[in-house]
Amino acid sequence: MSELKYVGKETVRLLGPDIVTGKARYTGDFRLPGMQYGKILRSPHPYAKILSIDVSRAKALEGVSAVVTWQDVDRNIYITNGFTPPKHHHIMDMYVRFIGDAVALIVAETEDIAMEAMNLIHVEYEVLKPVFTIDEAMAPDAPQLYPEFPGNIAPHKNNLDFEVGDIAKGFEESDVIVEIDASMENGQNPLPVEPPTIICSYENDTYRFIASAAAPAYCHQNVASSLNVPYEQVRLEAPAVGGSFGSKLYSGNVQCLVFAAIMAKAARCPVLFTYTKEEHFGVHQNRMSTKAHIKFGMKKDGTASAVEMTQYADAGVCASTQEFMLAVGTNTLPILCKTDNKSYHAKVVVTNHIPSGSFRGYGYMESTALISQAIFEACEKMDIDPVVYLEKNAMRKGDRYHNSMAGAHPWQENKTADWSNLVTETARAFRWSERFKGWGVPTWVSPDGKKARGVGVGAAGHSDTGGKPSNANVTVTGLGAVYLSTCMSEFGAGTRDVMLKVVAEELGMPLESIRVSDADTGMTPPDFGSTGSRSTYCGGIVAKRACEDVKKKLFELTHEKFGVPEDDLGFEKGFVYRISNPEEKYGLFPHLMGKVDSVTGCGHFDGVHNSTIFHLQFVEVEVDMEMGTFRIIDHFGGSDAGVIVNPLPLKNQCQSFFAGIDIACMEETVWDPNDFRVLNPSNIDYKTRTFNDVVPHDHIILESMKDVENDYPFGAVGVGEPLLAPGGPAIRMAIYNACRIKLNSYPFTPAKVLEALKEKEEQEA
Amino acid sequence: MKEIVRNVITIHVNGKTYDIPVGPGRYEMPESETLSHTLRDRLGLTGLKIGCDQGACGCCTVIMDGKAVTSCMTLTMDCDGGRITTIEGLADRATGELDGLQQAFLDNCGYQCGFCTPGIIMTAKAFLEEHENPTEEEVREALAGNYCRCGTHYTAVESVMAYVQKRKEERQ
Repeated sequence: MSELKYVGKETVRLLGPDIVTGKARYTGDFRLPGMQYGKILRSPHPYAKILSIDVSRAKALEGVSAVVTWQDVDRNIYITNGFTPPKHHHIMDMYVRFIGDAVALIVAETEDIAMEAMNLIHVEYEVLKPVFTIDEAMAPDAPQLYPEFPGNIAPHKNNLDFEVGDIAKGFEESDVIVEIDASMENGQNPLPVEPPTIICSYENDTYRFIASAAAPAYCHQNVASSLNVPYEQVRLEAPAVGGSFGSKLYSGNVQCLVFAAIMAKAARCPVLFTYTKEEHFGVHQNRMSTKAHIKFGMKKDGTASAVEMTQYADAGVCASTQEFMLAVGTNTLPILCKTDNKSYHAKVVVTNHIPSGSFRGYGYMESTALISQAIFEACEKMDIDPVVYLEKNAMRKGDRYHNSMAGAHPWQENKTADWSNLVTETARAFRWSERFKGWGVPTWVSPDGKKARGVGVGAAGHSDTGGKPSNANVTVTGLGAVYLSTCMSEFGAGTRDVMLKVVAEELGMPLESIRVSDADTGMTPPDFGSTGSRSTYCGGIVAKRACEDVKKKLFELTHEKFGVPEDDLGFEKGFVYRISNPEEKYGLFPHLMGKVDSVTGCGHFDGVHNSTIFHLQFVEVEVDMEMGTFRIIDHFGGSDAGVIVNPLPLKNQCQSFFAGIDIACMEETVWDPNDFRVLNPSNIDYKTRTFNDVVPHDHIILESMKDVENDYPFGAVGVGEPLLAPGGPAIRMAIYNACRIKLNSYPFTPAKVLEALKEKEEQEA
Repeated sequence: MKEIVRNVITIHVNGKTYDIPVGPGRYEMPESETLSHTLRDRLGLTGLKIGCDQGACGCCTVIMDGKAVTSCMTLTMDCDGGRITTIEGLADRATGELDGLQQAFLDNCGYQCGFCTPGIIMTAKAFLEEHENPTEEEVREALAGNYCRCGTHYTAVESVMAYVQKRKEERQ
């Protein structure tokens, strides 16, 4: 491969100068002419029927433009992606189904007036008996949330029921079989610092949004489906996005956009609607509670031989994206268990609390946490080193595996990287073989015996990075300006810089000559967006293909005008040149086109089902057995970028693992057991990692596509998404190795640690 | 002939002086207004961000009379006569040249989504005015009130330390 000029070279990110000067514009920074503010009166009951609402005094308040109740809203407006599950969740209804459900929407000249109006609304409720957990919802005589969901189960269309290989034979051939019940219930919040913020105006039959949306076209589609309008009646522009971590994909919970649309139409003016931090915590979405029964068989050499999994997901009040998350989560089976013998069954359940939804590690962080527990048990029983297990079971390049999401062709061959090699290299860099002393054996114990250290490892990934379409256009003008048209938005990873560099590289044009469009779905072709670490790969590939298409058209033009054979033409630095005689050049202007003229190339990518991603982390923890606390004294990650495009932004991505380790260390949504309201809806009460509490960290990033024939844009693949998934399982293992306790409920608070230690003492006594 | 009695407070922001009428009227500032809203909504200085509006994320940090303050927890009424610098006021006003600290964040990519970055830079700026040669630990401690979800904790601190080092070299 020839030397790359732009890919892999450090450049200041496109948005960088605006970020450090405060000029970067996020949704909440826009002020449109005539813009007003939206607020929502929310239900104080987890389940109730609205008997009456009197909004007359609120409407009469000076400065109030609109008050909307469920009776004013078209009954065909549901929260839906138009596909699955069946429509059930009216955006507003005569029933409120969780604490925080919308009762009235208010638009006013100021937020203060809207809040004042809220106090003037009188509502009468008939309180109903709610269900809060998967078990409560599925009990035989449980109250029913939706007539469409008998038994509170949301029927799914994703492939959540499959059996492949020969399960019985697989278990027969196993040297060890373990069966576990595992769950994950701490309702972690994605918690980007910028809360969901939307501006909507309704003009010319079009709902026009400025929105903090991470995947604009995907969101656009879901909003149009929910509003029950044709696609073209929505237009969405995502300016700078203040973090998403899945919560601004709007792959399911598009409520805030739909509310803003209804408000804008009712008030006949642009409306800014932003969640307070309390709403962000209490009503938007958090990580699903899920539980599973897993039967896992393994051979004595550490190869998985059969796995059976039954899983339930708690959707909260609105079933939407959860079945897709479960489907992506099934990828953990081939990612962590090298066996063809698998069965999987899952159900999505609705309950009376905040909806769950997408969160970095979309479904597979959850399944990784669950399945890793079974692998842990089996390896411990057979005394298999967990790194040996991962080396044996992680996919190699070309390995055949079952991808349940791949429709009619579930058997795929991994085309990305040798993940087993990544395990080996990362383990070596962490010095695992020196530091791991065996299962339940600490690496160090303090002289007084009160503190002990242990090491652990976790790994995760999926097979969803390429499975959706992308599109981009590239226009080259007569004067050599280049325009990349994409709706890929920017929320921190440097995705748009990746696409920019790919265009520069493919066209041989300087970065300064290229402009990247706004992420505006009204001006750019649809793209599934930056989800699941697909944007480097899919965005890169369509940018490259669009450039190839531009060049093809330029060569056709050159052939038409000058009779040069197209296969003897190349393009660089704004000139078409003859390969057999590089001195023979044709300028864009005047040779091929006018000054105010252009050629546009289209790049399309349909998606593939064999592009995998994998990431692993090692930790060493020190447990204080007197206090029940633990701290991470070393953290080490391993990724493979294929080929690095943006070095420093990639480093940032590889260090963005806190929400992963902190699912074990501190993060939890605290529910009131009586009504499942969120009791810690603030940045103070919901604990997260602070600057003075960072952990010692290092990582390696392999570039396994360098000088290797591949299908990726200059060899680049995504890295960032799985950064959260391995942390919890690694810490759980490390704590066990430090002091022989198995913790089964995140986060591992001092009370839980002390209780487990006490239980262990009693058992040993 | 009407006579108007007006309550006015004065704040000095990024070298400019603003007189703001206070009262219940539509075009007056309510006494309950916080500095974050005054700066963003009345003066158009949207560089500071409102992340939590609870004083817990640090995104709205500005420097007032030399101290970093969370502007969402500060009543504008309490700022009469105050000298305030926002992220927009850091670069050289005449030339637009970036402050050395801003440049260090650019050079070291000490940001990801960028929403928390203005607050982090302003917190660090106030801290560095009072601490000539801080350790990395001290910088981390100074930034403990700034919430960042992208996990930019490492490169943000590296950016600050790079600036500290450069400033030291320049002053020698």
